[in-house]
Amino acid sequence: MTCDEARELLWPPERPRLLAADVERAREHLRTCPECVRYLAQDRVLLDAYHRLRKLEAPLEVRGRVFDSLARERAKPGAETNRTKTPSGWSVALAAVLVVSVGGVLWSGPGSDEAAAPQMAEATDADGGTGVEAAFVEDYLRRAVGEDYLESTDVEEIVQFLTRELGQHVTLLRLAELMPVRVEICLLEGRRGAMIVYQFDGKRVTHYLVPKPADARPPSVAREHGDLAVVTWASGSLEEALVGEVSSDTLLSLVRSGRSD
Amino acid sequence: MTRTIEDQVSLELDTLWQAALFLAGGEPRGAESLLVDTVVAASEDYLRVAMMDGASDAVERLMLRRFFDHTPWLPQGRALRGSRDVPEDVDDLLRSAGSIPPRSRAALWLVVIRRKPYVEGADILGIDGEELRGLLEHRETLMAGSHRVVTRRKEGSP
Repeated sequence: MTCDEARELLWPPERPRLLAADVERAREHLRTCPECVRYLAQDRVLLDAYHRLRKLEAPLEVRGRVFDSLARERAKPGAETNRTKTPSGWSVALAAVLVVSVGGVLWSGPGSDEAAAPQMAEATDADGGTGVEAAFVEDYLRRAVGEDYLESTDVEEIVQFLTRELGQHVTLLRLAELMPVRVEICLLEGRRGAMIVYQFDGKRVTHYLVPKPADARPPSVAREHGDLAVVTWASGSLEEALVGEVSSDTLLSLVRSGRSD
Repeated sequence: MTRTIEDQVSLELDTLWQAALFLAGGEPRGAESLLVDTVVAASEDYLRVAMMDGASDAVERLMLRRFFDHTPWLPQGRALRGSRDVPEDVDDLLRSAGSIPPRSRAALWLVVIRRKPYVEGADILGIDGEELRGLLEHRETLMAGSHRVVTRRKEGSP
């Protein structure tokens, strides 16, 4: 066995390793090779230097500049496509609007949808847009970091994916005119959920599902935001919403017809 | 659940800073530039980072590979010597690193300093074991700086 082979096999020397035949041969080599003994003895000096080095902490100003750069990068127009390689800016905007428009409905508990929407609207107006931007950035950041996704039109494959990712059985909206094209795991208000993007009449509508204990609630129009409509409902374990650039009546009809329960 | 890039960077930041200082030969401006570029690249290349999810050193690996493949021009800045952030003896080690060719610096950081097995170090850098062994031959230069670390430490001991 050569010195190089022995050193490689026994590196790093402080790490325990199985006593395989080649390790035993390397140790035997070490016992008879002064050069290798010297090499490994010198290494203790490097190990000591490393222990000194690892006590260094990144200075606060460096930390600040690192995270500022990260935030600036994320805020660049069009950067999201590069990062996630799949979702369109449309879906990001949609998610953001959903957070602003439906967030209160989704998270404020069953039966509170009527009250929550006005509260959200007030907060947004009072902030003069700041609340909207914050929600947009928050959701953008979460979604840009690479949650799991699946591009498929196979309903069974999508159901399997969601069941695995969300830890519970999920039912898609089943309608001939709704074609699922993509599923993405997302985070809303700190909860892991999923969005299913459907093709509908040349447009896209997105179905959000967020596991959360909730009393069952029938579908209702939560609010319209420009061309964007939102319908929300709940089952015993999921808060759900359908969002799209179609009329709220159409969305409501899709939800009512597409639900199998 | 997939860790966010912010979580991952927070987790690794001190080690990233140490690695960046080493790779930049102790120049803080160069180290910061390398660190920031790596973090931005990691955010763009999230899939690659995500694939390494679970590895506590995912961004560090990315930094080493980027530095190894495309040694960047690093701005020179105020020397760290005497800085309250970096003890003088550690600065000796970093300066020794600065006198080593960049690709060897990356290999030495991974194997000699970070104690990665040869196979893992070669894998991170995308090279074979033979090339790695060649790059590690600059270890003696690093030893000189490390000796000064130990000597100063002994001198400073009560």
